[in-house]
Amino acid sequence: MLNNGMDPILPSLVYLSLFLSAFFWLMCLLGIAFFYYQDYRYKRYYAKIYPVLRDFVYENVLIGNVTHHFPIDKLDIEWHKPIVRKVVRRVLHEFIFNIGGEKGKNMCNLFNEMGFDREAQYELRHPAKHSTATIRSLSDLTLMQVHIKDTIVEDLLIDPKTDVRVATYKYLLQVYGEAAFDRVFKMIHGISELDSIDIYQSIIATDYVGEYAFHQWLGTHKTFAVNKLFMNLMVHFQQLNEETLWWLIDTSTDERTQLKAINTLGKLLAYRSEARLRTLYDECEKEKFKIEILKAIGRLGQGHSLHFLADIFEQDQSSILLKKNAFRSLLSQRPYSHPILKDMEKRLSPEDLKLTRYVSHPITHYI
Amino acid sequence: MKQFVLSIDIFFGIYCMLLFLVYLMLFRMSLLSIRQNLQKKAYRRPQTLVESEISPGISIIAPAYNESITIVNNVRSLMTLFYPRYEVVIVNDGSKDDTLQKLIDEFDLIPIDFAVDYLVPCKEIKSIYKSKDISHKRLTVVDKVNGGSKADAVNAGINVSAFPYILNTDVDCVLANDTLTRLMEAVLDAQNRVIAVGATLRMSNSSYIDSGTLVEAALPEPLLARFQEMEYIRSYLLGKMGWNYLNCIPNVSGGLGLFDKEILIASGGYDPKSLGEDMEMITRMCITMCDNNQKYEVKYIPQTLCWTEGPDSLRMLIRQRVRWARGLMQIIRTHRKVFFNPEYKRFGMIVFPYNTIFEFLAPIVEVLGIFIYIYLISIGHINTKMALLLLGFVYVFSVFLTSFSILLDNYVFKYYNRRRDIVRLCITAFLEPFLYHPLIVYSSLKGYVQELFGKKHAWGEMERKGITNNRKNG
Amino acid sequence: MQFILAKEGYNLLLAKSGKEGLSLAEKERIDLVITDLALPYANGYEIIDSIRKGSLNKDVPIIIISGYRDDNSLAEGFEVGANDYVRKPISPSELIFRVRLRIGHAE
Repeated sequence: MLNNGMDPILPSLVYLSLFLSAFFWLMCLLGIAFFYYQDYRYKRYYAKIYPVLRDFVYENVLIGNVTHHFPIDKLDIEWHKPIVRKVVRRVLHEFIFNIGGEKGKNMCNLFNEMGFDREAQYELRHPAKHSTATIRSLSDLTLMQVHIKDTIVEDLLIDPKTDVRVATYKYLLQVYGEAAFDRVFKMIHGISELDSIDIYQSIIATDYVGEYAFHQWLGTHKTFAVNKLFMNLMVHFQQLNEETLWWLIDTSTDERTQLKAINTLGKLLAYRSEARLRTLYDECEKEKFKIEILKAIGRLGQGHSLHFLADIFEQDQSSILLKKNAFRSLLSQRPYSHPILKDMEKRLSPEDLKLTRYVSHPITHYI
Repeated sequence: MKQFVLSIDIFFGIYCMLLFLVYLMLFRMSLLSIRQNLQKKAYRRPQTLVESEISPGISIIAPAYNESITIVNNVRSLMTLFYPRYEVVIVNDGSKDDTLQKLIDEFDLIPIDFAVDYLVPCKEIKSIYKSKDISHKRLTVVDKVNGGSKADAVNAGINVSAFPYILNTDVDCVLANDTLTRLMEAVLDAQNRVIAVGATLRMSNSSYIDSGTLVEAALPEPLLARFQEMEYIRSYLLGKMGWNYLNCIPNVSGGLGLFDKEILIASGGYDPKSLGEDMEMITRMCITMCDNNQKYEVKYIPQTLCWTEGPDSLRMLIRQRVRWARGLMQIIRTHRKVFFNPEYKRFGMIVFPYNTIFEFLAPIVEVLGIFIYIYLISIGHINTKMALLLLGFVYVFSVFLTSFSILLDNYVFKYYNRRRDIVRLCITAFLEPFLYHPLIVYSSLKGYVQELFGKKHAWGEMERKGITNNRKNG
Repeated sequence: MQFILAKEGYNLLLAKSGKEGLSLAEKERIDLVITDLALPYANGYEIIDSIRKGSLNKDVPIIIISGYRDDNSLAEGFEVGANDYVRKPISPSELIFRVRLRIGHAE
C-alpha cells in the first residue's frame, strides 16, 4: 500500500482526506464562533429587556393590580425579532415561576395578551419537524389556560413521540382538571418514570380535590411507570383500595410494581391487610420484598403483628437489614409495642442491643 | 521481505481505517445524542424533581484520605446541593492527619452505636458519627480501618448508606449544585433500568472556587492541566456521548457517577484489588445484568457537573495514567470470556472489543507503527513525500477531532466566561499531538509492562494544594 | 420579592448567599428573616440553626420560602426552628400577611 508511491489512487486519497480534515477543522472554528456569537447576542438582549419588563410587571401587576388589558403598547421592545420574543418568554417564565396566587394568574394573562397564545396555537397547527416547539407551545398554553381545538388534541394524543404525548397529558390535566382524567388515563402509555413524576406533579399543582377513583386504572400489564403514577396519586389523595392493590401484588410480573403496591398499602394504612402481609412475608423469598413488607407493617400496624416482628428481630438467621426494619416497625407502633420492647430488652444479646440503640437513636434518620 | 512489509502495511492500514471509521461514527452519534439531550432540556421543567415529594433518595458517598485542608469546605458544599432527599456519607479511610477531628469539630459530631451489614466486602468500620445539630442531619461520617484503596472506602459507604441510589464522588471534587437533579433525571427518563449515569468532568485547577463552591470556571493556566482539560472534554463529549447513543458506554468515571445500589451490591461492590475500580465496576455490573437477562442502560449527560483537581506535576500525571493503563489491562484479562461473546449482547460485541482493540491496543500499535515506519523510511521502502503527507493528515485529523469536541462543548453550554480561554483551548489542540500525546502513550506502555511483570503498584498520595482560592489573575 | 416587601415599607438587608446571610445575622439587629432552603455555601437549615444558636438575633421570627414542596423538607425546616414555611410560587399578598403576622406593619 504505502510502499509504492507511484500508485495514483492512494496519494490523491490522502490529499483528499487531508483537505477534508482541514476543511472540517475550519468549520469547527466557525461553529465555535457562531455559538459564541449566539450566546453573546442572547445575553445582550436579555440585559436590555429584563429591566424594561421588570418595571412593567412591577408597575402593572404588583402595584397597579391590572388584571386584563395591559398597556403593552407602552413597552419599548422590538417585537418582530424572534430573539426578543424568546427572551421575553424566558423572563416571563421566571416571574411566573416565582409569583403565585392572584398576581400569578394576572401574570399569565399578561403572557397571553402579549400574543404568545396565538404564536403557540400556530405552532400546534403547523407541527415542525422537531417536537421542541410543539411541547413548548403546549406548556405555554397550559400556563395561559387557553383551550385549543379538540381535533388538534386528538392528534397530539396519538403522537408517536412520548414527550409530545406527555406534554398533551399535562395540558389536558391542568387546563380541564377532573373532566380530562378519563380521557388522559385511558390513553396513557409508554411514559418513563420521570414523566410519571412530572404528570403527578402537574395534577398536584392544580390543587385538585375530589373523589376520582384512581385505582381503576391500575393494571397488571401496564408498565411500572404508569402504575407508579396511579399509586402515588392514591397515596396523595388517600384513596385506599385494598382489593386492587392485592390483585396487583398477586398478578403482576413486574417486581417494582409489586414492591410499590406493598409500599402503598403501608402508606395508606390498610389495616385490614396486616394478616395478609404476614402470610406474604413467609411465602416470598427475596429480601427486598421482606423489607418492604416489614416497612408496610410498621406503617399500618394496629398492634396485631408485634410478636411476628419481634420474632423476626430475634431470629439469628435474619440479616441485619431485616432486623433493623423489624425493630423500626416495632418502634413505630410504640403504644402497643411498649411491653414487648421492655420484655425484649432483658434477653437480647449485646450485639442486638447495640442495633436497637442505633435504630432508636434520635439522630439516626435514615436506616 | 516484500511480503512481510506488505502484510504489515495491510494490518496497519486496516487498523487505521477502522479507527477512523469508529471516529466518524462517534462524531455523528455524539452530535445526535447531545442534540437529543439539549432538546429535552429545552422543554423540560427543571424544577420537577426538586419540587416533588416522590423523588427517589440518593446517598452521596465521598471517601476521604488525608484531606485535612479541604475537607470542611468540601463537605459543606456537598450539603448545599439542591435536592429534597439525600444524605452525605463521608468515609474517612483511616487518615493519618486530622481529617476526622476537623469534621467532628466543625459539625458537632458524636459517635453513635451502629450495626452494619457487610453487604459488599470492606475493611472493618470503626465508628459512625452523626451530627448533634438537626441542620446537619444529612451527614454521616464513617471512620474505618484503612483499606489501601478507594474501592474499599466506597464499599464501606455503600454498606452504611440508606437510599436506593449511590452517588460516588471524591471529596476533592466540586459539584454543580444541580448535580443530583440532572443525574436523577437521566436515571428516571428511560424505558429500561438505568444502572449508572455519569457526567462530564473538568479541571478545577484554575477556576475560582470559594468555600467548596464553584464561582467561575476558567481554563487551567498550566499547560499540563490544560491538556488534561482538553483530553477530558474530548473523551467525554466525543467518546462517552457518542457511545451513549448506542447504549454502549464503557466506563463511568470515579469522579462522579450515580449508581443503582441494588445492582451494585448484586455484582459484589467495588474491587479493592483493581487499579481501575470504576471501570471494573461498570464492567461487572453490565455482566451481572446480562447474566440475569435484564435490559439495562448506562447513560451519560453532556453537562459538566463536576470539577476535579487534576494532577499538576508530570510525575503525578504519569503515575495516574500508569494506574489507569494497568487497570484496563486487568479488566481485559479478568473478563476475557466476554470478548465477542454473543451472550453479552452489546456489551460483549461492541463495548468490550472496542476497549480491547482500540483503547488497550492503541498505544502498542502506535509505537510499533512508528518504529516500523522509521525503519521502512530508512531502507527506502516508502517515499518521503508520501510519508510526510500521511503524517500531516493524521496531525490535521487529530486537531480537527479536538476542535470538534470543543465545538460540542460550546454547543452544550458556554462554560468559560472569558473569550481568550476558548481561543487558547483551540491553540492547545495544535500542541497536544507533540507534547501531551507521547506522554500518555509512554505512561500506558509503562503501565502494561508493570502489569505484565507483576510489579506492585504504589498508590501514591496526591498532595492537595487546597482549592480554596487559587485563581491567579482576574 | 424584595420589591413586594419594600413597597410595604420594610427595610431590607439582602444576602446573595448563605454565607453572606450568616455574617449579616451576626452583625445586624434583625426583626425578621426570610430565607430559601437551597442556597450556595450554607443551606437554609444551617442558617436557621446558627441564628437560633447565636446571641444577637436568637428569637427572631424566621420564614422559609422554598421550592421544595415535599413535607419532609417542611418538617425539617420547622424542626430546626423556623416559624413559617411558604412554598414557591409565592403569592405576594400572602407573603405580606405572613410577614405582618410576625412583626406587624412597617412604621
